[in-house]
Amino acid sequence: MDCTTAGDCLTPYIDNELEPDVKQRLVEHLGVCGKCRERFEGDLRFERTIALRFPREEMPQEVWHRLQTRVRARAHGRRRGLLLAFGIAAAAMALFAVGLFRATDVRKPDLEQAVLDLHRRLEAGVEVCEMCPISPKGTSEFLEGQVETRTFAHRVAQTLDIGAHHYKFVGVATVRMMEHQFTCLEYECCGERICVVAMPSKDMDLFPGMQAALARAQGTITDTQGTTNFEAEIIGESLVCFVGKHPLEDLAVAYAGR
Amino acid sequence: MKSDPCVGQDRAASFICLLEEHKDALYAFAKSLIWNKEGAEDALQDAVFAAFRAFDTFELGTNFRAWMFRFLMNTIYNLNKKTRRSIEVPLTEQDAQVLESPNPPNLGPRLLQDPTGYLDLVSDPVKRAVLGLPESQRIAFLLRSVNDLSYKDISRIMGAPLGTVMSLLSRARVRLRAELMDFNSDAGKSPR
Repeated sequence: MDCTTAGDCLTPYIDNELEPDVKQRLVEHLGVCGKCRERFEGDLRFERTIALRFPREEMPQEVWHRLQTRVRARAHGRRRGLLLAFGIAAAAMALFAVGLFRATDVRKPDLEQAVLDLHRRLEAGVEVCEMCPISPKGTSEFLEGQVETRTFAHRVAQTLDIGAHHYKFVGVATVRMMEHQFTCLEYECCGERICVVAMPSKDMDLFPGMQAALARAQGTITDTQGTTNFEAEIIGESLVCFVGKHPLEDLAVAYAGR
Repeated sequence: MKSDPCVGQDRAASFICLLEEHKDALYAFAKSLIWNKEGAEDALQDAVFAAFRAFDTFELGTNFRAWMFRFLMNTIYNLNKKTRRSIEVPLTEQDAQVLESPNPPNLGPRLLQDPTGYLDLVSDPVKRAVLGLPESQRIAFLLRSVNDLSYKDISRIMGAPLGTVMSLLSRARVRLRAELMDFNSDAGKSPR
């Protein structure tokens, strides 16, 4: 290879775009030609100098979570035929609420610690709860993809007093309702488990059914369980919580079907 | 054979799974063309939505990175067109003195959107020189030198023949070397 051809090949070589045989001939030429080697080293240094000025910037976690949430919401939006059903189901979730949500005995760091401990135990394959096994996959998704719920964990309690019942936090689960997947925190009292579902209020407009549910979610209803009070509540600026019996999916679907 | 973890999931999960690997590169690319954080995030979001709408046309196993970059680049092209049409703000003499910019494209909107970011940018001779490149050269250069995409991928992303891409890259580099001669000399490095 002569110096002119070598000069033309330097940039594609740096860009890793040379055919193997041309590359081989260029490398051989650079091995014997000091002038071309010096030019190559200058070009390489130039490229690296510039690339270093544009450091790889990581997408902030909140941006990534927002994108994921919106993509999922759009995926659901595509299935317009199911929107109405979802609206009914979401409203049903609120209608199945079983009492006034009140956080007492607020020990915020404990709750998050409990969630993280739970995750570690699940990762290690430890059966956490015989009565209600929690899927490690669901919990991983929760910890990796649902920061809002971790925020939730900061805000709510280790225990909940609902009516006369004193519920204790027992774990985390992912529940599906129609096309939507939610993370819920489970509490238990007197042999009964309930799920608390958290959703950022800023995402409410993505779920028309939830909006409808929230608008209706105060008062007294009578369902097959008897007469109960229920409430959906905005906690702080960003979270909307419904309190409902577990499993939400069965209940919601059953209710929508009535 | 190792199975693709993004295959076999529902549409949204599969898309998110593929996107996750390239999200940082896409974000950095958006930020390198739109120097205002919110603008870059908005452009990226629009590109992601557009790609997701067209996700049915993507063949799993092919180059998702290049496919996604193309949506982002189109979004940014369109955004720039809109911005140029809608914002025309003359710079004051004082602004011009502060910036000392070699006639960068789209200066007014960029300064308005993110004055601090812009001032940071123009204080760096390398970034200033890249910003001063014509748009197509700048995009080709950033895709290659910063995002490490192949000529073939850049050709697909820009919708331009391979030869055009190589020509754009070559012209960008010649221009950058000329612009940065002083910078390299100051740093004790010869560009050649």
